[in-house]
Amino acid sequence: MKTGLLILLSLMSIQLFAQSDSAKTFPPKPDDNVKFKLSGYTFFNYVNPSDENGGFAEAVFSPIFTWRPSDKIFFQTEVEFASSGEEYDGSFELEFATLNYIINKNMTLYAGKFLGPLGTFQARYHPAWINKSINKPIGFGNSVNGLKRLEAGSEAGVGLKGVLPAGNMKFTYDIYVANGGILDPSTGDVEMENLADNNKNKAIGGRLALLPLSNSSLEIGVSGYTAKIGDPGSMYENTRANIFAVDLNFVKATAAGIFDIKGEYQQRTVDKDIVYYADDADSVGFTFNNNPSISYLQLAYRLPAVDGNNWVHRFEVVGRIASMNVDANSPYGRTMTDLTLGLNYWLNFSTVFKLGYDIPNYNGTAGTNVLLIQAAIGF
Amino acid sequence: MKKKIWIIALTILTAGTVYNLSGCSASKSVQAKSGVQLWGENCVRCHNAPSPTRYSDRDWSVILTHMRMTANLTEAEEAKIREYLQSAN
Repeated sequence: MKTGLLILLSLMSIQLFAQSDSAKTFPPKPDDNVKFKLSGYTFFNYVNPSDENGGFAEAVFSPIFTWRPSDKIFFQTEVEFASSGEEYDGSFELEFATLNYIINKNMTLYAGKFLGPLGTFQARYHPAWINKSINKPIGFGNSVNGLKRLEAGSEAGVGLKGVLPAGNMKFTYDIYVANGGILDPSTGDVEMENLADNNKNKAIGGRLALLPLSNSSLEIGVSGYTAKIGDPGSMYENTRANIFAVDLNFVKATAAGIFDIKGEYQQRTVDKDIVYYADDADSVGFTFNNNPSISYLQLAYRLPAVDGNNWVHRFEVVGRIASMNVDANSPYGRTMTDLTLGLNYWLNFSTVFKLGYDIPNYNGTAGTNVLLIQAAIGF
Repeated sequence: MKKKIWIIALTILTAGTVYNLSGCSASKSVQAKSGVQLWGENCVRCHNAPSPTRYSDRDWSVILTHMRMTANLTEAEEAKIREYLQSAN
């Protein structure tokens, strides 16, 4: 916590320096390239499972500091302060801290800790004021039996990304090298977020996407990742984790309202079966196929303004189906589907009140339904 | 086998990058799009479109660089949207 405060104070001092610098030249000259911006988001959740008492369950504040010291260089970092679950006093996490260098009009080099570009949910849609559903899909940051996500969320490394216009279409690319995941042979879990590497092999990942329509309303992406994840000298030394993902985004504003379709599928394969021991007394163990997959499809519809009544336009309905498929012997539990229904009320473009209802199902067995309320603000 | 697939993918990517460096361009109809049109088309891909009056010129300048990287805007798109937002705020 002290470290977190020190980092925050350091970041705030950057702002102070930036302010003092601009103060010398106030009003800023039009060609002044030194620019700093504080943005971010915050949200609060009320959660009421159908078989328990409800309560105020989560409060999150995520400031994002962006600094552009020149036309070519751009730095951004996000820290997250969260009070949730048993972390009543709050936890601190550096979500990302990335230095970008714009090489040319179609190519940017980046380095540091960055949001993984595998798929799109984590890289773009996870902030509460952007995510139209009231929570994250299972396996996309919404943890089920310890399986929070398949990709890293954020990774430490270096990458290259950009956009290639081609007629009425656009191609985008993002390729990176990172430390890579580490296999925990006792559970089969793969820890994807690592500042220290357990072997000499580096992970390679990336995403290619196509925006085939001239209005950019449709985007289809394919992502891949591969890395050795076992410790040298262990039976998993040459074990490799591969991730494959496809994503879809279609948003169309019409006279009848705004239609928003988002979806993603991810599969992580570990090319060696894992032997899992439930506890110290378990000498036989379970062997399981460590190839979980997750997916979600979300539909959102925002009403049009009717006869000049803008309040109608503030309402949005959302439905999302998500699934997580895991081996029955794995410690991740059972295959699960999750239906989430929601009604949003937008106060302005980035402030929203959400009402949601979560209906989980475990392999045909109904789970505990949950009523959720959320207030989210992007700034 | 998988290593070969990755090498091929990297080769394709590199070739694409070289092609990029040699120059590829948007169609004339895409190039003719105005800043307000690009603002309307691109912001809503992820979130509601903010009003131009929401931020100052300096803020928009930083935000657009951020969005160029996050939403994969081209340099021309970024410039047009920035010009529109800074003129309409």
